[in-house]
Amino acid sequence: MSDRWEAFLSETVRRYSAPERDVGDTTATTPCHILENASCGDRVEIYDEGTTVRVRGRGCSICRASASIATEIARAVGRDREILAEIALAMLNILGTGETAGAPELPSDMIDEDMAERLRSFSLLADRPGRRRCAALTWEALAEWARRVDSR
Amino acid sequence: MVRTYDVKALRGQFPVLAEHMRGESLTYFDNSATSLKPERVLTAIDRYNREYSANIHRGVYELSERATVAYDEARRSVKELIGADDSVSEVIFTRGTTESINVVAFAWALTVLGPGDEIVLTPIEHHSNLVPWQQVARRTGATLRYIELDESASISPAAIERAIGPATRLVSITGMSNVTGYVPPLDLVVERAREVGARVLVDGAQYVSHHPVSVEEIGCDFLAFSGHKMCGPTGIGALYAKRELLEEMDPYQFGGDMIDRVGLYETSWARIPEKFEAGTPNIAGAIGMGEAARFLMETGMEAISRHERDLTVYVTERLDALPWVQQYGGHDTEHRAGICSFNLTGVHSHDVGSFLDQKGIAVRTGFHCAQPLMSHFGISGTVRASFYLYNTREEIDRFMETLERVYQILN
Repeated sequence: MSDRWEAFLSETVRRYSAPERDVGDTTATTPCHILENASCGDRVEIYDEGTTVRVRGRGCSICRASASIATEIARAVGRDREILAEIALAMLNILGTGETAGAPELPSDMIDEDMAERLRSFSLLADRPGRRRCAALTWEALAEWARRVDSR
Repeated sequence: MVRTYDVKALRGQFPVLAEHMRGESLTYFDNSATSLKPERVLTAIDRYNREYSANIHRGVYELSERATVAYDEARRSVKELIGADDSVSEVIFTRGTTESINVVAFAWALTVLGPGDEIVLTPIEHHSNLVPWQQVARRTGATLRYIELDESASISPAAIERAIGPATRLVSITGMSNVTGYVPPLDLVVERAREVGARVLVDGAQYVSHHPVSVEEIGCDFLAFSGHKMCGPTGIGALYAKRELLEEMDPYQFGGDMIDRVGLYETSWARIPEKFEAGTPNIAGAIGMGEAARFLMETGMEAISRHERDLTVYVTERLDALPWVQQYGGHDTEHRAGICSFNLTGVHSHDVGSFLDQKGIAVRTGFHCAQPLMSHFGISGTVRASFYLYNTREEIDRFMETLERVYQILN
């Protein structure tokens, strides 16, 4: 197994897809936005809670980890749809191109270097088209949610 | 003379098996998606392109005649592989199983079916043997009916009896599930269809490459299959059909090569099979498929089938011993071939697939173009390991060791 992939799995995917990273009880709430990948059953739900948003990923470990990270970021930046949309687009760019240098900047005043590095580690999925969408689903959902909120 | 099955020698004929993936030697268990190609098939395709790359039919020069002879020879070999009798049937080259089914759907079913008629399918079908019939039903007013499955997605004689009735005009059924490897009782299906006067199409995408086939014994009216699942190239396949049906069917596509006489306002059609092969065909593909058919016949379809059965029994027993493995399609290896589908408790199939990939093991994960079957099992996808003539027990051992590691790490 390549060192980079192993590091990605153990340091990012396993850590953030673990049950203790779960976004918490959402049974009493209705998601305001849902995005699914019918080809594998992955599903991302966005919960708009006024002051923050929570993102729940269901399905494979990469989908769950990606959603969990998005929730953690939203906790840090608050329910700021512009910032969240910016981060979502940056992540989609990283996942699409594998480039981290030319990607839209992750707002460094809100995301610490450890988290930024973690986000950049997803760039290796650009070369794995079979798994890219597992991570992208969260950011696509977040970007769609931001657009919907924007257009109201 | 009893031939021994020399898997090592066979493996030596497949160049891809010498490749490394993610730094590990390749274990290829995705044969239901596509099979690997032996050197002689690659050479046959290459020779056509390098040495006699001319268009077929009507060329009066040697280059074209050589291409025509090779193309016709390919058709003969494909017919021989499936035991087709020239006097009553024909084989048409298509792009693959999907197109073969679409030929029947659009050139036959659309013209003969109407309201009140029933098309009988099963929920285990690949989407390519399901979606065309939904379209035919929508356009003709015919109704879709399904043969019920039991818990393990098998079909009982009683279910066949219930589904196929007086209104049935067509039964379209897989010869072997691409998800579970289950081989439905085609003999019972054909017998019941005959009783009610219905036609039978067999989706042979998986079946033909893994079993000795005699269309005369099966008794089906149509058999659709692909070159790339049987050691041939992609983009080529075949439709076997009874000659009487092909005679009454209109062409599927129109243009060059499928015509007899063309006027400004009217055209008559060429004879079968050209009537169904409009335009310049995939000549190199057909030659490759013909060579693949000869390779399989020389290797021996009985021997291939026995070898795969041994692998299926072996892997099923190994997986059965693991309490954290859920297998799909039942434990009855008598009616299954070459495929095992499963999940590990608490681990998504894509995660298993990616981990196996890191060890050079290629499996397929997801719904395998069979969403209704996934719904039957109540899951979104499985890990599918599918075997072919070049796979070995040693590869399965390596696969099992890796699975145990996957479970330790990911669960």
